[in-house]
Amino acid sequence: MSQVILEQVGRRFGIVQAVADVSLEIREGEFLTLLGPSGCGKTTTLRIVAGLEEHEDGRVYIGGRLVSDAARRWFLPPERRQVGMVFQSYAVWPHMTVFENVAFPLRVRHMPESEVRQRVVWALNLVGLEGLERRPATALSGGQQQRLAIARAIVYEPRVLLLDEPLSNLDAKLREGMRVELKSLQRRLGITTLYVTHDQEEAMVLSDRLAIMSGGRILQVGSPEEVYRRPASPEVAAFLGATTVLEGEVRAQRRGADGPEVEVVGPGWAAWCRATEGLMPGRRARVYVRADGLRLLRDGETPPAGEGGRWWGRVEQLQFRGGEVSVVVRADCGVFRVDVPFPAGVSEGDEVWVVGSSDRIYAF
Amino acid sequence: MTVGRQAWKHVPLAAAALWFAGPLAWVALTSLKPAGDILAVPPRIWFRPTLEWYAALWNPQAFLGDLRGYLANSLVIALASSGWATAAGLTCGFALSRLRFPGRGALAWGLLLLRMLPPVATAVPLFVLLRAVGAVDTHVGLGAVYAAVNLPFLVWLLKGFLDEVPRELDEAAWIDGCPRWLYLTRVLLPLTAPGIAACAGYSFLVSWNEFSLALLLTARRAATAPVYVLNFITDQGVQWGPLAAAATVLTVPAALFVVLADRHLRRGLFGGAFKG
Repeated sequence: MSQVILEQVGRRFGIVQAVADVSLEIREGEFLTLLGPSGCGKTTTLRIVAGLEEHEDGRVYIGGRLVSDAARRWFLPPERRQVGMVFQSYAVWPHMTVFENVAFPLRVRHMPESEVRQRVVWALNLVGLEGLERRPATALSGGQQQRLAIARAIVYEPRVLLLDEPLSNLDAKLREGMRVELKSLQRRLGITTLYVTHDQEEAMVLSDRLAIMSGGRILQVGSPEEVYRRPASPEVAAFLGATTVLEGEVRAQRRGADGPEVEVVGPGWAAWCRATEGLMPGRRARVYVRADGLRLLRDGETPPAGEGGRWWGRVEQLQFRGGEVSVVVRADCGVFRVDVPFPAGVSEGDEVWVVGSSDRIYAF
Repeated sequence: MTVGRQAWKHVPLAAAALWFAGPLAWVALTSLKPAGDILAVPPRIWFRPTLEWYAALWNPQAFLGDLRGYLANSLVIALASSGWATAAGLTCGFALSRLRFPGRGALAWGLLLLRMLPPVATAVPLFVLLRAVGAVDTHVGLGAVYAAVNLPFLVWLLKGFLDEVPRELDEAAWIDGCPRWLYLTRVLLPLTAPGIAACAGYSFLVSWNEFSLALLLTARRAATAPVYVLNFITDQGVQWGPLAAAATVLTVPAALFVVLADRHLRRGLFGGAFKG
């Protein structure tokens, strides 16, 4: 029993509504990520769960137990919520050794020293810091301090692990490695985890489910694939990497293999897109196109199956990205980015078709 | 060319050093001069140095008693007042730095205003107060007054040191289940130890050097070394030799402290990034 439930939680800072009407369930053993741009309320939500922040509305339950109830102004203090937390700046004690850092939460809980030793060794082994017990915490590298912070957060076996952008201070290569480790550590411990990040890729790799936040609200909750493939709102589509937005009018509607689809018509183009239920013919619509759902076609080539729409344009730029190339194409209605494998097979100035498959274009 | 420019920068610095250190050197030299050379005009740079004035300070047969008793008074009072002021300043600074309560800002600025009071304005009331509780001419009385005088500044100084410790450390301790007093003693105290030591040293020095309150609030038993120095200004003239010797002895702890604590003191006074 260690699921976390938030019920209509709200938090104001002066006139700013940092968190508004957030209801969310983090299932037992689940890795759930709050994903959103900075200032979207994700860190505040995490801090509310931790008990570091008092909220004005709603209730929070951890493991079936009410831990805060804004209506009664009742808040269980953080140390009694059985949560472990990893901070963005790691917050390791600079004046203590690695061992003392991890032992600290146990010692302030008056655990017998023999058990402290056993637990610390266990936690340090889990994060791969064995053998560094006597090092001063400040003599560790950034990645090691990160591990130390994780070891300290899990050493007293909390019910819930809270992580606030823990990887954002690491360099790109280290971050990649830590993602893998963090994920396998969480699986091994089976600990309910709430993770906060603004890094879309990180969230997708790590999470069982994502909650996309913006303006203090949760826009969509779902598995990474669901959220990515079926964004529920334009904000989600835009945040998850839609690079081109077009305006048009809905002309027709049909039932696709995977939900409703609509045909949107703009000046000089028409496209079938995924849509939400309420989008009826005659309505104005915005079409969101993502770089990874597009292909390039020379005039006369046969289009791939499942084509949703096409736009005629001129290649303006080639951006080499290693394994793939981003081709920037200017069409009459807007600019598209198309990610294709290297070599791109086109050069600057070429005229091409940009073809989108109907399950990668979204109309709202 | 660059060397020349650098050298020019040192001219005002050298002038300032001369301005401040000159009188100190003068006093130190005077304390070593034989009686005939002290008031010689023009002043003598070359003379046969003597320790007779220092020896006189240590002479228990002297009319006023020797310097040692007064030095002991100074030491006891400065240590006690510095200890009290630092302990109180630390808890006040912690409250101002970490706790949220109504009137917090007003309180902090009020403390600074207290510091602006001219000392003379408080001297007489302090005397009346100490007399009422029977603490005139006692170590405890003068020590308490010094602690009170130093406290506002120390609170601000210590608040500054505590402010440099990142808030996330507080929260991490909170989640770890660390009670507040334990956090203060086990985490904040060790992290800010150099700053706290500098504050204690500063407050010690202020008390060590203080003269006018000591003159007013003590007579004989608890009189401090600066008061003793005054005795060399007599109705038969100023005894420059012993006066200079006593002044030199009194300067030594101050000089030592500034050399040792210089870096920490500057960080506390002028702020700076927290280094873990």
